[in-house]
Amino acid sequence: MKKWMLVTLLIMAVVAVSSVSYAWFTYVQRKSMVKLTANEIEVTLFLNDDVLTTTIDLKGLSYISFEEEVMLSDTSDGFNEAGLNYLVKINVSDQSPLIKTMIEFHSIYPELIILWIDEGLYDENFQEELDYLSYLKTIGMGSSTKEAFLESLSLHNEGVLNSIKTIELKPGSIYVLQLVMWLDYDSLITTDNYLDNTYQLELLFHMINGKSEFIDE
Amino acid sequence: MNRQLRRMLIIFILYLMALIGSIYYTYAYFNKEETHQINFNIGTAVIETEVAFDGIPIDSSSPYYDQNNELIIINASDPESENAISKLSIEISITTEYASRIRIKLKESYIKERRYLSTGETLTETMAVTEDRTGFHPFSYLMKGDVYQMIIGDGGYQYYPNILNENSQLVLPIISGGLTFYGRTNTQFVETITLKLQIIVEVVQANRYQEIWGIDGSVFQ
Repeated sequence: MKKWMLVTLLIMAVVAVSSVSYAWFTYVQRKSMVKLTANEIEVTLFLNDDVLTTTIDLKGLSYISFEEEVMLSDTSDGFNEAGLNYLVKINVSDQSPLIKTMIEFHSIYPELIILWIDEGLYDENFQEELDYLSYLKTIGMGSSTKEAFLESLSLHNEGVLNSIKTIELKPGSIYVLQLVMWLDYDSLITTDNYLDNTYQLELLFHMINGKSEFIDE
Repeated sequence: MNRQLRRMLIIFILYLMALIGSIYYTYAYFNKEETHQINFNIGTAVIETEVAFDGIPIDSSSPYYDQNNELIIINASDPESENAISKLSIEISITTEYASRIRIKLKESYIKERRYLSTGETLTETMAVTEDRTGFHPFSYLMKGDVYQMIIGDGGYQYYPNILNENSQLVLPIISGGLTFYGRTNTQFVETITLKLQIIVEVVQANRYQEIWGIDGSVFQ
């Protein structure tokens, strides 16, 4: 029994070490001798140009009337600028292996209008979307009611976050998503002291090896 | 026997630890999770005005500031006085945490005082500026600041042409000197002209100016 356990223990140790190493062998260059490196996931998350810290306080949310300024309006006239926008950048280090990212983001506030835009890979010609009104109009095309429009927006956001899950990000790449927010005055449950309202949101980033798949929960 | 059992138990615990450890270690290397809490709120706007004569800023305790009526008192007729119109400079700094539209209004009151030397009697008269000069504020003796970009609208309001983005600052040089209004002085009387100036600065959320200011977007076209 003792011998058997010692042998198994030894085998386990060998298997554990080799499986970890195998998981992180990344092909680097084709030469007469193949160089292999073993690295762990190394990603830095940015909000605009600042590293995303555990807790962040942001100001600048503006109230709008979703129906009047989005559904019934053809011109932005301040609506686009009123959107509080941030670029969420997923910066994969040069030493990292291929990764996939899953982002979870839930809001419990009915008045908080959220728009996720998939901006793609960052390069020198990067230009983020700024015409949110046209973007929203495309999303809500065919929606006759505010509820239907907001449902389309919710599905759009879900689609953007779901599509990110399948994208393999290479070492050294930066993937960008844009998060835009407004407050819909008409959806406020109470307008008492509404200018003092604060909103807490949790952003969860889950990164895995690029060759793996996320298990749907 | 007991010793053998103890050894067996230790080996078994080590075995379990290695098993759990290897699974956890491998899993940990395959995953990275980060949770970030973001707190949002509306934000505020801060307006600061710097008033200076000959480059020397004044504060609310200055004799050239009427705290009760929130007026800047400027000598419009004597270029040598400390608070001479030609020495005046006003800069407004707006720091806003939300996207904003900005407009200003100058409320000017030119008051001529004629003091009769023989009796000491003083006559006061409010003067009107009827000329509109290039480089000056509309119907004013006050010169516009450098690189002045404000759009002249109705009701004496001047509009900043662009939307000020959230969490940004704008510095507007509103006034940079002015033209002296020469009063008459003779053996009978001495005239002095005082300009009482009030500046109104309004900051509104970028998409709310139509309702609050009662204008449409044509002023910015």
